[in-house]
Amino acid sequence: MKKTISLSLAALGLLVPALPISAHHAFAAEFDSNKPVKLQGTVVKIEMVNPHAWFHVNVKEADGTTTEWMIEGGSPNALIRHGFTKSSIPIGTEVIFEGYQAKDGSHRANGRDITFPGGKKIFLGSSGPEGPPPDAK
Amino acid sequence: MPTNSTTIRILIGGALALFAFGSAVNAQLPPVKPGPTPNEANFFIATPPTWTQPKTPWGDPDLQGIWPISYVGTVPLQRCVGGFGPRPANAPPCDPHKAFLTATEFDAIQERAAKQPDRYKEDVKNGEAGRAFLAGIMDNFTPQRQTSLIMDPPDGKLPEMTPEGKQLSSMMKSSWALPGEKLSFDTFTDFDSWDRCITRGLPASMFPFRYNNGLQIVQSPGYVALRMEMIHESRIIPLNAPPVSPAIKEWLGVSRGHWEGSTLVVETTNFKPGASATNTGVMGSPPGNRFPISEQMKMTERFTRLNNDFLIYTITVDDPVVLTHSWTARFPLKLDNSFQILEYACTEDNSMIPHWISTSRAEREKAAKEQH
Repeated sequence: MKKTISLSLAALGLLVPALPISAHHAFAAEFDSNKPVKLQGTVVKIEMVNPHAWFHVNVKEADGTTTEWMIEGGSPNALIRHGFTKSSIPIGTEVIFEGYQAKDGSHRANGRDITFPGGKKIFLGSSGPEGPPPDAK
Repeated sequence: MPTNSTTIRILIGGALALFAFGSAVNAQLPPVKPGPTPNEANFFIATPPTWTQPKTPWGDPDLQGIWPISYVGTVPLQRCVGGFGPRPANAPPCDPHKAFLTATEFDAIQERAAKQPDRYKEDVKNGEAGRAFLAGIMDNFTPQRQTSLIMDPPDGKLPEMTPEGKQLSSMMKSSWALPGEKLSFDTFTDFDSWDRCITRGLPASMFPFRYNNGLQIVQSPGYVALRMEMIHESRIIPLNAPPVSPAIKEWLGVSRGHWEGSTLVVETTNFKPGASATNTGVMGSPPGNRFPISEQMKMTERFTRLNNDFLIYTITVDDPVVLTHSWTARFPLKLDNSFQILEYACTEDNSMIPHWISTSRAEREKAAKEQH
């Protein structure tokens, strides 16, 4: 499918995308690029809502209490078209997320990266024929 | 009381001004010319000599199907306007009078694009679910030969605003800052119609975005409907219907359609001003989401099918209150009925409006404390 390949704007050598992934609304209206956060926790809820999806992650504090963070993701419709659904990352998955905290200091962040502790891989179940083989899970 | 000769001079001057203005307003691209040979007039899309326009069971030209606008997602609205960032240092200088890339330039871009891995698929394959989540938000784009969506004015740029247009623009609100602007929010009216998930407005809704580009044409006897994925809107277009009262005003205006040969022509008036005519999320658009429209705006669209897979879409925007002359964008759309249009449920941007207001208040409180 040479004609329908996915490409970034930068791939054309014309433009360099500088906006964060959340493009329905202005990043600067809510998040602080001077407040990067990197936290580890357990996914407790994924909201595939418009204009942007939200991950809810329970993060353990040093004093033993738990704080629920909301991490903003991308547009759910395009994700679902790619095969990524609400159940692609199971509830209870341990994740490390990096992003920028909200300017009002609340526990919300704009997601820049989501990885898994210890380099653990998570294969998505609904990725179609070009996805991983069944025994890779 | 002006003298007779002054009155005559004013009349002549007015007539000349009207003539000049009228000429500018009526400036138009020549019509799309389907033909067997690919060239600029048909956007390099050939119409086979034996091809016949499909018809609906009731005899209208059949345009039905899904025509995702992402097909032209790599083309900026305005020529030589970067949109998302600076041009790379090694990019050739942009020629404002070059509407199409040469065949050689286009081949090079296609080759480069073909070598780009699909980041989503790569991440899925490698078990990087988190990265796939972040990579999967873009619709798929296709390289194009045209260098801007705007084809008239000939330099591919939006025309200058009138003084009144600039005044209207200065009164608009948005979460999208102008360069150097410091915004503050206290209520829902401090945001634009797109921030609030009301509408992207017109003509902005008809241009490619990085995601949610679904556009479906549905026909029934006497009607054409344009279903737009973002933001969950359908434009219902009665064919050969009488105009409505000027008292009726809609965010998306009131559309009336007719056929000129096999071309669907849609004329839209009765706009309720408020939404921005351009959207900063469309590459190559002005910043700030504050390009006004007036109640006088008229939009004329043409859908000309070239073969089973392609149509050419032309949109002319004419707004004598806001614009010093009209502008026209033209681009191809490719039929893709495998593109799944999903519901785009969004009300007041879900939780975002309170988030923004709370953020803005916290910022101002912090600044005030620092001052004392």
